[in-house]
Amino acid sequence: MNALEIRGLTRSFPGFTLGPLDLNLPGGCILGLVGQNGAGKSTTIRLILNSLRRDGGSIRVLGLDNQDAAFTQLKNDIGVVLDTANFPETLTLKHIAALMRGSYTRWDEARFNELVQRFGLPENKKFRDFSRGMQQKLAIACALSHQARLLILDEATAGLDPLVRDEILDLFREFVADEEHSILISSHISSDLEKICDYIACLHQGKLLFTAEKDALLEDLALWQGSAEQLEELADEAIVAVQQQPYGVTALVKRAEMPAGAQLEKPRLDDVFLFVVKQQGKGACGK
Amino acid sequence: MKALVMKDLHVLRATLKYYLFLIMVFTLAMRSAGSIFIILYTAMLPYTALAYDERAHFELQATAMPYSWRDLVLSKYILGWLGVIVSLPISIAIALLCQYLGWGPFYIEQQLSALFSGVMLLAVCLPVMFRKGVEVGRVLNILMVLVVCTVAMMMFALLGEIIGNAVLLWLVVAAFAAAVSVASVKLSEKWYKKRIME
Repeated sequence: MNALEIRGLTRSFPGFTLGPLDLNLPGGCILGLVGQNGAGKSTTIRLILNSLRRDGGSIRVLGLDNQDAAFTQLKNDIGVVLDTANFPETLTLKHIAALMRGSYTRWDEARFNELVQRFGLPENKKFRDFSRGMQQKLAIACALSHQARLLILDEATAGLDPLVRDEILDLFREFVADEEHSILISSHISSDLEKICDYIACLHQGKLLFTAEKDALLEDLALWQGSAEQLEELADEAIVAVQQQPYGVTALVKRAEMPAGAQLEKPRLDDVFLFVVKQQGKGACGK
Repeated sequence: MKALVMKDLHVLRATLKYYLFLIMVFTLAMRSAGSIFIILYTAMLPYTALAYDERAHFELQATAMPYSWRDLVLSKYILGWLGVIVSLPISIAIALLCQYLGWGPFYIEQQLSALFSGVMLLAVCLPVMFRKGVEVGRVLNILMVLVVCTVAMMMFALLGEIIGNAVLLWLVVAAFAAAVSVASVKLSEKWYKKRIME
């Protein structure tokens, strides 16, 4: 079963239109949502949570339409971390734990305490005195402590140092070890997405530029460098996107269409994202 | 929903000392009549809780949790109703103390009128706060304190003449407050949902 199915989703604001958007998140997988600021990632997440009105399309979360009355209770199965943790400033960790305990039917106090200890979060400090990293860690601890089946993470690792980020990515990997668990994660930090995602969806100015299986995407594509004359000799179907450099050109190419012996480099997700966004090459490398 | 009310009580703990200070000031300044302000002030507790929520954008967190729109708005009403109910005996005790000290007579009607006004203030102001935000709502609240209290006094005088029986009068008033509160919760739910989802 797909953990998430989005079909023809649209939402318009003055000066910005999201969609139409089609996305699938298969059960047991991690889907990374990558895109610039204002691309529509947070809007998509709020639409999934039904905390924003949609203009058209449909969203099914864990098999249920998110406008169904039962969706409120289904939120027990969804762990959410937003780009900023949104708790009133005078609350302490104990108060937030009490709020969560009283809100989620399957709140796991032992798991929460374990994560709080692991993250080194202070018990009696007020939330306003937490650093941004601490606030995010607390939000992640909450999301992982009510036996959710789906995690929705909006820039969850932003503001965390690389060591902690790595530790948290391990927690996310552990989470999807259970095939009934899935994660939708949006992030600017494409190295994080590259480490943990099974699928990548790229949003740009509200439109889905591509969605692809990450490993296949990075294996099928390659970076090629050469002169403008050498580029002319390449087959058109091999070239996905081109960037002019001071001493030649760099191109994102389809490995299978390149001549034998061509010097190719494996791209990073960042490279693919930058090339595709700059080229606006919708459909060039996706399915 | 109990967890949401408890959350608000934790949030408000820091401001409760200011409430105690205001109670003392009003009691000393206005003697017996000042005790009714305790009830009217506690009716404003949900506005402060809502202001903390707004500052933290708690609505983004809350709408990701297993709460309906009704739960989210009703928790604020319950906080306000709890406030006025708990403050009623305190207000009566202070008024009785004032009477004992010779600072003025005690009339239970005064306290019951304040209770009714507190409930009505919540019913009138909370929908506006959920629709327009706390800042706009607070301005309205200042105006509504005068309007609601004046209308309440006129209503009691008029109904007192028509009904005659004091017990029956208070039952009619309680039924009216309950009906207005139910309508107010429904309106708050509709307006809050509209504000957040747009």
